Amino acid sequence: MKYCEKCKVSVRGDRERCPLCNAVLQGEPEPSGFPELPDGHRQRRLWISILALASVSACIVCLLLNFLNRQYGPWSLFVLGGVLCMWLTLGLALYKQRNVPKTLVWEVFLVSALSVLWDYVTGWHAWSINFVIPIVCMGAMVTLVFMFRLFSVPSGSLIVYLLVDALLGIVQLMLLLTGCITVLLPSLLCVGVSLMMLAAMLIFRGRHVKEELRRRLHL
Amino acid sequence: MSHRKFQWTGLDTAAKIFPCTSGQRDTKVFRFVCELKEPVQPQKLQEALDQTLGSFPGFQTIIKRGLFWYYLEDTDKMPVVQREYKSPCSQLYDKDVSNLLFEVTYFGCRVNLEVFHAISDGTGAMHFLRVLIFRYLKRVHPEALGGLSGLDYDASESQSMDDSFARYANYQKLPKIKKVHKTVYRLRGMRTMDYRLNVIVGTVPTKQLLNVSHSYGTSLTELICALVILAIRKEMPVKDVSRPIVLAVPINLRNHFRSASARNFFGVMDVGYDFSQGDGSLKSILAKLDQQFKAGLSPEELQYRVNQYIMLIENPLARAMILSVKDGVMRLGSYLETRKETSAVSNIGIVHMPAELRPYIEKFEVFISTQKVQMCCLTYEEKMTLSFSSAFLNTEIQKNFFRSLTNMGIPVEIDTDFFEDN
Repeated sequence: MKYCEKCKVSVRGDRERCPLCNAVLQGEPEPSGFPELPDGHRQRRLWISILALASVSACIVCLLLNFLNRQYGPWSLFVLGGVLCMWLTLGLALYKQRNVPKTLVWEVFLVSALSVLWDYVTGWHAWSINFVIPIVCMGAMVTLVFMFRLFSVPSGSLIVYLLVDALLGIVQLMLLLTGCITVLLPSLLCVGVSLMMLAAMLIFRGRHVKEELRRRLHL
Repeated sequence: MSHRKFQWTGLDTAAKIFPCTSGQRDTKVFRFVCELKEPVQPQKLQEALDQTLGSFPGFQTIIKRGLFWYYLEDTDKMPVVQREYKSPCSQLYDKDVSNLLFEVTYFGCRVNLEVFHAISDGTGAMHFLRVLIFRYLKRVHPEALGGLSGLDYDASESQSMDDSFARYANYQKLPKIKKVHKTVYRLRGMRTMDYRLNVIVGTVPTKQLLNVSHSYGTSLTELICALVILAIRKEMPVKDVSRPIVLAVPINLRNHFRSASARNFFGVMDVGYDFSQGDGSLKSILAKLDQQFKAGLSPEELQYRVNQYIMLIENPLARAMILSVKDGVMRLGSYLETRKETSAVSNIGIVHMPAELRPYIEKFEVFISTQKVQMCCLTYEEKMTLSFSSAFLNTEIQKNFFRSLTNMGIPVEIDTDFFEDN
């Protein structure tokens, strides 16, 4: 075994220097109990870096162009907002990518919130609650059911994701009743699908739903 | 799995803090190592692991988030024995992926068991490793060990799943334990890259270290704490000398309350020394520590430790808080708590294995993830292993500690997971 004269300790492993004091070791090496592992440093994926640079450059170019012809108003702010929203949704997906169904539900909420914000900022034409929210909500529900069939998503988690999404769908009903929604078809469809989804869950998996809720809601 | 042992259960009282405070730097994962005399046979280890799992229902679980609390759910996932492939005590709990919360790996002659603290504490995990090694060695050497009957761990399923805090809490308001109010000395330094843990394991002959502790008329744990305090003292900048050095010392409550739980059942006491109020000799540190250990292990203080978590958790306000808020509060609380501690020393104690297995086992080791520097130690037969885990690059404290041992004439064998980059 290698030996450090300064610390007076024996050292395992084939190394030049003492891990304690960095003095040069003497003697013959003996294998260490730890494997030498490759550098765990994870490199950011190239396409993300390229996309980031492209969006930053686009923002800068737009700001400069906007500065050149100011008479058209601050239009570059729209570009900035758009890029920001894109990165929010993409960032969420990348951050949560290890759990696809969960990401999907989070994205539904994020996209809904962002669309309402855009709609509000651009003078409220109600397109966000008329079209975006019901369609995104329904899309997510259908995708979740397919995912359940295609991948082995644990049914307990799926119940929760579907419930949350269906509840968001039912919120549409309130918007419908209060008359905020001007184009009825998408919202009606969404409410219908949500209610049917809830009914299906209760009919086919009522016991599971009850049990899952008991777990998730225990105090 | 044909029969389900349990479907779900809340995290045990002490474990409730771990999922929210664990991160990439402090993963709250600890590792037990059993070094054998022969290279590990993965296939046999896998078989032994599958068999062992049946006796520890609390290990085959995943953590889920409820609206108010985390909880453990029974799972069909089976652990797969792998060659060691990542840095010691890397993250096991990921809130987006429901993975098993423990892992068995091997490298050369060593079997590593890594466990997320939420499912078990050191004693529980040690039981698991002992049963695993026992069953593994029986498979590898059927002719010599085939006749050996079971290990002394015979807890029933319900016993091993017991939340012993709830069992022994008596809900009496006990006088609060006084904590050091001065600002405690905190370790600083350059941290390792990629959240790697800097582990330095020292192996020493048990007998010689025991002799030293006997010559001072003190216990091994107290001697080790005193030497760690001295090692830290040597690195203290002059401006900080008035700050006390405080070590967190986990206490295995199973030694004081009857419990066979394989889940968490431990308390933490703080011991320390203030160099501005003492001569700083080993003798005076030991005397001070002895006082604090005696007080900390008194029945009243032990009962207080059992009660304190329960009272916190049963508080209606705390219960009705939704989980994400609770997470934040607990993270803040744990941050404020750790500010009151310089470092930690955890002595797992003596590992008992049947005498027949002795020829096949070299030694045991243990270490834990940390965001500062922490020492864990245990004793198996004539070999005691003292392991420092550290989030820092520099190894001055470790150097001071091991040099203080070699200066007493105790031979030390060092091993580390950090390799030189050349």
